[in-house]
Amino acid sequence: MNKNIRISVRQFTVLILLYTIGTTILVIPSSLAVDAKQNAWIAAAAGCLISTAIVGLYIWLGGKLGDRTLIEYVEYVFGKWMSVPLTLLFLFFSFIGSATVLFYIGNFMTTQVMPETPIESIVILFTCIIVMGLLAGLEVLARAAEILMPWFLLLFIVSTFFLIPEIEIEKIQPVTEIGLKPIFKASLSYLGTASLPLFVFLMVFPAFIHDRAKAKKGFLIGNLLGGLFIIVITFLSISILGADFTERNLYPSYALAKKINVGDFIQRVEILMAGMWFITIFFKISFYSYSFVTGLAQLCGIKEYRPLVVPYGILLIVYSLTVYPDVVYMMDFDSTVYIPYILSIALLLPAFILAAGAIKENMSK
Amino acid sequence: MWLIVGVVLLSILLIRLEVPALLKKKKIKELWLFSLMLLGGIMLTIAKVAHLPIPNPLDFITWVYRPASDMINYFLK
Repeated sequence: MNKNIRISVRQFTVLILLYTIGTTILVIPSSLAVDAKQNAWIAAAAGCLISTAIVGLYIWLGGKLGDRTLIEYVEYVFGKWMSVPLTLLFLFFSFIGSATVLFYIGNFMTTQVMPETPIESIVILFTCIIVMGLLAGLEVLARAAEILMPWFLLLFIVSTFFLIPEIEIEKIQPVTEIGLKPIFKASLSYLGTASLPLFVFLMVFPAFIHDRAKAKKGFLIGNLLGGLFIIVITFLSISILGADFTERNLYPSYALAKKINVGDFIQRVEILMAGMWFITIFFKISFYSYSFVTGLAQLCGIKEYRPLVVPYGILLIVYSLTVYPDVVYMMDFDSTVYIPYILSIALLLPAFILAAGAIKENMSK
Repeated sequence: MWLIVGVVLLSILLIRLEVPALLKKKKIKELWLFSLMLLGGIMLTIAKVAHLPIPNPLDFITWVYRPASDMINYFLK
């Protein structure tokens, strides 16, 4: 691995922020509303708070890594052969992550924006920019995030500002009708989409960051700010569309943006929302893919991951068209099996690695 | 059909670009992994276009985690 690559703390924070928002912003209001109904925004806030603890765990583990990436650290702790199954679990997770998220964007485009276009063409085009980003490398991705961030903010502020007049506060009432259990369950799906995938950033953090002490703070801030965006979007979805409609709609925030109507003149600007989604989801797929490709290279003892990127792109295209046979399968998988899966991979696995690392440290003393 | 042609053309271009450089630097491991992934990619694309069944990793995850997810749903209902 080339150790000369460095990204700044600000770039890292922006990456975390965009990665947290990617996919989450368009789909989460719906999955939150399924359980928490009109309290979905409270569930988002609860999820945001719990996610701080999860990011704390990653920062703790990151503190142990030093100059190593996650996979090099696993190899150091468990030895050459014992580490292979754990690494394969991680690689499997990041591959599944990128393939499913790529399907999300393809499905969104073909059902909502361009219904006449086959999903393959969108998936292939999107994979092309992912491959370009990976070939360009981590530093370029980080700089791209820095450049796209103001655009994202602009789109977000404009659409939120236009939506404020539409808010009907009685739609979030009664606040105390829903118990704690549904809120907790809803916040689990928040964690599964927004916070637990941040696990893949241990391939970047802290090895490739300039100022490691500040990067820890950046990790927390990025995650919290990302959570704030999601709380705002969820609140708007519930208070404008109502819990019922949010729950039934696959992409509520897109439906939300269709409501924008300023003086019968500014209308149908929902593509603003889609634009925010393209920006954030690009970084989500890129970092899932980055951790897969670099992880695979490190597993096989290869220094340079770039020759693998294009073959990986071909695999990604095929699998993004395979993982979800249809939308029903997708909704069932995401709301049921995905939650224990991601909890075991992104919560239990790092805790296990951390414990094993601590034992190894004590033994060598 | 055009997908297969596209993938094969892309692979030929890729092999033309990557393989000589890798051979020159004697990066045999890289070459192996590159060829395996490319071969896998081409085969899967052909299988996809021909509508052959491709193993879905999510089915496997579902098989492993279904009991755990049922438990979560039971306790949080």
